[in-house]
Formats: sequence, C-alpha cells, structure tokens
Amino acid sequence: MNSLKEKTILIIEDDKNISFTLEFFLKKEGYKTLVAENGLIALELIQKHGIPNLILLDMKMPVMNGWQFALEFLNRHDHKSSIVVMTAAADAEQRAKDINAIGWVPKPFNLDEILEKIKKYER
Amino acid sequence: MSLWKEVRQYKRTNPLAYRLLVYILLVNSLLTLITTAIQLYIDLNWEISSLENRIELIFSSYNSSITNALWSYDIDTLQLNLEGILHFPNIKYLELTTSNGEVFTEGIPVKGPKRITRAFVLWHSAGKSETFKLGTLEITASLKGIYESFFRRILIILITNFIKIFPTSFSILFIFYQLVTRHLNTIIAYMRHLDLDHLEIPLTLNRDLKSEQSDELTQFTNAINAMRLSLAKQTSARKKAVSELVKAKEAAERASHLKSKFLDIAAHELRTPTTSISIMLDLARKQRAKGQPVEPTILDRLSEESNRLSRLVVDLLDVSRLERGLIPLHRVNTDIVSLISRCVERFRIAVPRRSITFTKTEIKPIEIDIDPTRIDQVLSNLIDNAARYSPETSSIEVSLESLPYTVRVSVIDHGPGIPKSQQDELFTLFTRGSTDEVERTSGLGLGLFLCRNIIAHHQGIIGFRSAAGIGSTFYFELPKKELKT
Repeated sequence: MNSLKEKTILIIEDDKNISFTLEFFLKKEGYKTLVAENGLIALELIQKHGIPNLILLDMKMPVMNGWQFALEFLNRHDHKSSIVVMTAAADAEQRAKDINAIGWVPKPFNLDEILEKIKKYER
Repeated sequence: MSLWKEVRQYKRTNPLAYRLLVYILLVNSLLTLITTAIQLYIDLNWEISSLENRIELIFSSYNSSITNALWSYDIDTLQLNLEGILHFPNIKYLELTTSNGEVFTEGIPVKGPKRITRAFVLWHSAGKSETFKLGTLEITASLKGIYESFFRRILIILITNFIKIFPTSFSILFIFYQLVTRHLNTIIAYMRHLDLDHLEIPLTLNRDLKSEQSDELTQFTNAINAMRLSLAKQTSARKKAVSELVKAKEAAERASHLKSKFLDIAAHELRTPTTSISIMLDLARKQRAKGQPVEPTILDRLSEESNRLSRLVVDLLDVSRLERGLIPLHRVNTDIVSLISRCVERFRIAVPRRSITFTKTEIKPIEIDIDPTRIDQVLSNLIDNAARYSPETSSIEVSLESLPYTVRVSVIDHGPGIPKSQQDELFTLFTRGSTDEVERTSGLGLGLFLCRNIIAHHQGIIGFRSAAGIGSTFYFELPKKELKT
C-alpha cells in the first residue's frame, strides 16, 4: 500500500467528529490527509503543502464557507484538483454544479460511499 | 379683421359671457327702437295737430280784414293780407275763390301727400241776420319741414341711445364677470386638478364677502367642499382597508415562508450529527471486523454526538412550539451555582478531551427564581457552540459573576471568532433570503434563537463579544429577583 505514491486528500469540514473519523479512516486506507475546519485554513494548507489529489468540501462552515473557498480555489488553481461536495442540503447535485465540483456525497453518508467517490475522482 | 378674430376668440373662451353680451345688446336695441318709435309717433301727431290749430288761428286773425277787402274789392289790401298769411312758417299756398268764380292764388302749390289743406268760407255780415257768402279760402301747409325735423330727431335719438347701449352692456358684462364668471373659472380649474390623492385642499373663491353673507356661489362652494370631505373620508377608509389586507397577506406569506424554512433547517440540521454518528459507527464496525481494537475516542465522540442530536431534537421541537407561543416556564427557586457546576461536569464527562473550567466570584449558593431545565438548556447550547467552533486543544471557560441586581454567566472560547457579516443575524432564527443562505451561514441560529427567547422569558439579557483570532464570549444575565413587567 505504501509502495504506491501516496495520494493526498484535503478534508474541509467544520464538524470535528466527521473530520476526525474521515481522517482516521482514510489514513488506514493509505491516503495522506490534510484537515481544515474552514475554507481559509484550507487555502493556507494548500499554499503550504501543495495541491491535493482530491478535496472533500463541506459547504456550511464559519469564517469561509464552501462557496467562498471554491471560488477562491478555482481562481487560484483552476481545475488542478477535483472537488467533491459533502452537503446536507436537499439538492446536493445543484450545490455541486454551483461551484463546478466534479462530484457530490449527500449527508448522511457512510464510509464506503465516500471511499467509492474518492477512488472514482482522485487524480 | 383682428377685432373679428378677437371676438371669435372671446366667443370660444367665454361662451356664456359672449351669449350674455349678445342678448343684452339685442334686447337693449329692440327696446330702444320700440320706445323711440312710440315717442316719435306721438310727437309727430302732436306737431300736425298743432299746425292745424295754428292755421285756424291764422285764419281767424285775418278773416275780417280779408272779408272787408273782398267786400270793398280792394285787391291791393287783399293781396297784402294773403302775402301776410304766407309769411307764417309751413304755409306754402293760398287759393281764394270768390262766389262769382274769380280765383286769387298766392305761393307755390304743394303736391304729394306731405301737406294739409284747410278750406274756410268767407262770410260778410250786413245786418243782424243777413250774411253773404263772399267765397272760400283754402290754406295749404307743407309737412315737409315737420318731417325733416322729425327724421333729424330720429337720427339723434337713435345715435344717442346706441351710444348708451354699448357701455351699459359692457358694464353688465363686467359685473357678471366679477360676480360669476371668474369664480366659475376658479371652480373649473379646481375641479380639473382634483384627484383622490389630494383631497385635503379645499375650494376657496377669491371673494370679499362677510361670513354671514351667503349666496348661490357660497352654497355651491360649500356643497363641493362637503362632497370633497366625504370622498376623502371614503378614500382613506378604503386605503386603510387595503393596507390592512396587504399587511395580513404579507404576514400570512411570511408565516408560510418561515414554516417551510423551518422544515428546511430542521432537515438540514439533523443531517450533520446523523452523518457523524453514522460514519463513526461504520468505522468502529470496520475495525472490529478486521480484529483491530476500536479507536478509543470513538465511544466518547459517539456519546457526545448522540447528546448533541438529542439536544437538537429538543431544540427543534421547542422552536416549533415557541413559534406557536407554547413555551411555559416552570420557575422554582434554584441555586444557579450548582446548576452551572452540574452542567459543566456533564460536558467534562461527555467531552473528556476538552478542558472546561468553571470560575465563580461567589462560593455560597445564589438562589434565583428560574426554570432550571431551560437555563440548563441555554448553558448547554452555549458550551456546545464553544466546543464546536474552537480547536479541540483550546480550553473553554465558564464564569459566574454576582452583580448588584443580576447574575452574569459567561462562556468563553478561544476559537477564530465570529465574522462581522454574521454577527448581526446571530440570534435570528430564519434569516432573510433563500434556503441557500441556510447552508451558506453557520448553523448557530437555531440554538441561539432559542437561548435568546428563554432568557427574554426570564426578563434577562443575552449577548456576545467576539474578536477575530482571539475568540468569542457569550453571556447572559438573569435578575436576582423577578422584575415586575
């Protein structure tokens, strides 16, 4: 597992239990993870660690929400990373389209669903 | 030409005054003609009859001398007498026929109808009863002079009368204008500019009248003003009714909008803890399936999340009841110090990773009249928010201050602080805008909205201070004795 070049997943989520569980699970699955509790911290992490292979993005967050982050990220880095939206909104597909995301996972989800999306869209 | 144009212009702009002028002129002229004709007819008859009388008078004064001259056949004297008669005005021709057929004439015979001729018999009296007819004398007078002066007078009378008619007519017209027409123009202008939105301006005429004087125009003005007032009353009543309807409609729409928004928020809010619980259980199951030990913090986290979920469910139900005004307080004398201690302790057990401290200025109990369950709900909400929105490594401090009239409870975190843009709407449940905003802004709204309402029910205050990068302090104050409302 570790012989392959590790892929980096950036988790942007303000709920600490969700981000903790995703981080714990993805590490076990052989990914390198970065966790940010809002868009602003995520942008700082990208600056520091480079562009991740995939971004799991929550929409509703304090300080800088998913919309603001996506706008700023696409502005800075174009489509160099796939964004998958994790949203509790009723129309998840529309939310994803709004910010030019490649995919979406409606809340509530389980770990297999999220892993499937990651494998499908990672770069 | 230009005068004619002006008359036509006047006729168009003041048809009533124009017609009045024409009628006055016509009636005046007709009356003048009739009265002049009657007056002159009487005058003419009088002149003719006085001429006749004069002829008789002339004859009677010449009668004896002519008769004597004829008796004595003194032709010269006769001639002289006849010439004398002819000198009187209007007498133009004399013809004397003697009994034996001799004819003497004097003057020029008058032809045509404009003359009068009178014949007199010349008698010679010889004794007491003897008379001889010597002949007849016809005196002809011409009426030409009378008619000429008559026509001159007609002309003068007509000219003077017509000169009189015009100023009189225009004076009447002016008086009519002053009394009626100009006020009519004012009324027309007023009525033309009258509309339902400007009924407050009354109709006033520019008249110099004493208040007790009332005429047709005053009555007319009063009638219009009465109509205006009644219209204004009706219009304002209608406007009021319409605005009330609009308000009721807006309130109904707002309520319906809030209701659907509440459902959106409820569904949305429930999804986050559900996701959290779902994936944590997922992880634990996967670890057990692989024979690995379950990650030690997972159970704590699960219990924390399930507590949060139950609080959320309670909050949602409360908000829904609060919206319908159904949140009763069960006030009892409660020691606020031990209430806070218990609440903090519960969080310490539920979230052992976090450092939660409780500092207080008083050690002895402070008893206040509150609903303990509700105040616990408020404090739990504030502590939970602090835990959610600050880093796991940072501490949370709860403090209690005893102030002269109130107790102040504060929950201090060291998180990123609340952005200015969200501060204004922090305590508002359903912020304006579409459901997009529900997701775009942080989910603090529900719990804080409830907190504010519970504290307000206790006649207390709730607020916060926040500094970017340093943290936020949420506090509430409760009165030590229930305030009279």
